[in-house]
Amino acid sequence: MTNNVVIRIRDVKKYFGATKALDGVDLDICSNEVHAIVGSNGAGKSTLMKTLAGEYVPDDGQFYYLDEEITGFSPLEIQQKGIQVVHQVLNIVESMSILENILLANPPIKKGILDWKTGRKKVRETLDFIGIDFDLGKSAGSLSISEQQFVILARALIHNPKILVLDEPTSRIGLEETRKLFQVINKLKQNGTTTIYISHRMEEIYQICDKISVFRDGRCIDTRETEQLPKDKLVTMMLGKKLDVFFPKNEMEVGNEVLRIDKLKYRDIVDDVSFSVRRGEIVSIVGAVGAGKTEIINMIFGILKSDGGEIFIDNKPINKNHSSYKAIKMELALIPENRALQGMVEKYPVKYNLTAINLKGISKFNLINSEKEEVLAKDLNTKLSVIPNDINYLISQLSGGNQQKVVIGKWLADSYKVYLLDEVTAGVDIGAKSEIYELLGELAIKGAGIVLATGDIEEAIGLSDKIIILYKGKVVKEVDPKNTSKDEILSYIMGSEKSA
Amino acid sequence: MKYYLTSWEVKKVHKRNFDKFIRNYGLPLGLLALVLIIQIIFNKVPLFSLFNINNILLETVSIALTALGLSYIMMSGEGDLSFAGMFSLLTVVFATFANNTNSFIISYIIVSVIAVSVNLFIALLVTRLNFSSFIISIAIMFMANGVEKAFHQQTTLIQNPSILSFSRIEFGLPLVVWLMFIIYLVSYFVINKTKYGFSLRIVGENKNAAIEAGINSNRIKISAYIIAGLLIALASAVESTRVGAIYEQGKYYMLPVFAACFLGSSMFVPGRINIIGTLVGALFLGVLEKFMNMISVESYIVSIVQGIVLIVSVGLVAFKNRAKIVQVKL
Repeated sequence: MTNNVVIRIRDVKKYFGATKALDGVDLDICSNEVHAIVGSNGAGKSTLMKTLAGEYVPDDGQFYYLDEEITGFSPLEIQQKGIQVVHQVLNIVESMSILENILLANPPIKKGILDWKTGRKKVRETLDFIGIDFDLGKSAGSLSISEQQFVILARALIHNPKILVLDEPTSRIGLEETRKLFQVINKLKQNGTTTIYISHRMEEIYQICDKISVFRDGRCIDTRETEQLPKDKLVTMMLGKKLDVFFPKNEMEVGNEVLRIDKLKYRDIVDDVSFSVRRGEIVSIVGAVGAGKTEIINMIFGILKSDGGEIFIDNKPINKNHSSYKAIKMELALIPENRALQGMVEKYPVKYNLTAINLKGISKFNLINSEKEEVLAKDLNTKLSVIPNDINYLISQLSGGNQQKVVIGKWLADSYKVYLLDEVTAGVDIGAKSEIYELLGELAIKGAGIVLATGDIEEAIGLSDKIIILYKGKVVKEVDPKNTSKDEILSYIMGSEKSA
Repeated sequence: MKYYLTSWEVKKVHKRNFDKFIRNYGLPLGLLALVLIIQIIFNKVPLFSLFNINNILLETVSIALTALGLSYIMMSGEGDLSFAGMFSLLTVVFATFANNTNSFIISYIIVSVIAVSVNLFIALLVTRLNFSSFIISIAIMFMANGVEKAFHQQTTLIQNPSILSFSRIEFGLPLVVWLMFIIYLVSYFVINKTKYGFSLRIVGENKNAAIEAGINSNRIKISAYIIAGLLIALASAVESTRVGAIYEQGKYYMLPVFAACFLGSSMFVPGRINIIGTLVGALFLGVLEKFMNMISVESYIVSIVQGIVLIVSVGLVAFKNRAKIVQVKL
């Protein structure tokens, strides 16, 4: 097949108030290719994707599909043209069955009645193509997040799309599932489907994509073949500056033990997990999705009640009625996995989000001193270099990376003994990532113990002093990042190598 | 290799099946048990005689139809309280026009037009201007009560005997009872077997999923409100002809209609309003009310008992969903 252009975007603009989300985008997507779109948070990727999905109507510019100009922007019209978008947010209808969820957009109808029998056949074909099996009658809400991702993928593929847009499809799934997804993308390519792939994960892009388009400040600044664009050059293009140090070198002497957990249990998810963290030490917990990382973090912070085992802070056991309130009193800090649900109050401005747990310092007789509040929030905001540097912005208006900085920032007004971080760089662009790493390095130098639950193995190797590998709720191996490789860790995560 | 269940796993599967059975059929079984208990306590009262069944069903029709309308609105993801005030107003309007025109059809058309326009008004505010349906409906409820009081302070009696006889036409069961069952059957079919019903449920469950699926959620919501308007109009016509003497009828309907919907939502998928559940819930409340009438308890006790039923049904849903609440926390 020849590579002819299927989507031609010319000078497309989209403004939200004063913010130029898309500021004249020119982009060509050819048939039969996997085309990556990369850029920092807020570079315009999501806006472009929502435009492609028909949810946003561009303010200006032309949009051609197979040399035909698209004028009607509604999800239905776009889908009928053969463009399917898999959003980052998984919009599952929890109470409905998997079958109904996959056939959401147009269920087959026979004589005015929903024809689930035909639907079932169609769904089976699509699932076979993906190479996954589901009990179709089960409710979709009972599935794990990574299974839901495949339900959503099937929902898009059942229409046999000409163009498939994937927005951060791997941010919530494990390595095994990522491999499966890539197989599907390759198969689609053979069948003549073009895939537009949006991701922050560099390795994935180099693994699967033929072309890369770099977005910055609402513009597509360059499009190149993957082979002609080395990684460091790509990062420089994305950020508009050179990134020198990615992982800060931590030459600190580690101190006394600050946190120890002993034979921690939780239902059938966490099984006899023990490890310890010393002052100035960064300990990573790695494992597949569902290996029990989040549960361990939440038990230490008192959000989940453990079913056995003990937690020691400075060698003193935490009593049984542990709660998040007490955890903060004992100088534990949590940066949770689910930013929107646990980490921030979406409808509040940045300043309230920054001062929410520091109210003691800024209030007298339980009255909040708003001047002190402003000063504290401004201090933290500048220190974190949150963009925009305005504490009155709603946190929901910030990009993902900047939101995460604010979520971390609220713990910086005071010093804490232990910082518990759960997937702290998920959905965060590479620039903000390096800033967050720097921050963690600083905290460690100040003598805090840091527990980092992560699915990103590079991050674990680059950042930590000790890596604990979980497989199905059990610690299978503790490794020193200096004497290990990515492949070794991977094999433990997959459970293919048994612990000694 | 074949995989055999251990005895512990077998027990778990049995328990799961039992849980599922109770979830799906607990409510109708409870209804049956209630009827039996009543029968045993009041051995002499002929509850099961045909006259009584007809009577109980006849008294349930208005609750059931209004609750069905509310179910449509709730399935589309909105809430409503306006029906309590509207019910009072519509019955009075029906009675007044019945006395003036001596025509069932004209009176019925007039209440339908009023009910549909008010619901359309609410629906437009909710869909176009993003008003909270719950708050709007409270305002409408009180306004409807006010309008009702403005043009009549005492009981209105329907004089025309041929209009009054509408709810007494019988083919084995009263005509309106047949009508209720047919409407429920059609609704069940529409909601569960047609694309419209499928879209309605998607809109109610997850608005963003509906947008991604290209469903026009505003149009779906407006249609649910219109259907609810038609149903409450029919319910008020039935009520007027059945009672004959109209005075603030809606007052007695707010609680049972709500309770019927929520009780029904404890069936099948906990917390999801469904057609069969609403019917069983309405019958449950109808029987309960009849029972309390038979042992002649004060009307305030009836309200208290119905309130308890509502709390218990909401509690049932929360209890059945408890495993899920933990998940959300994660």
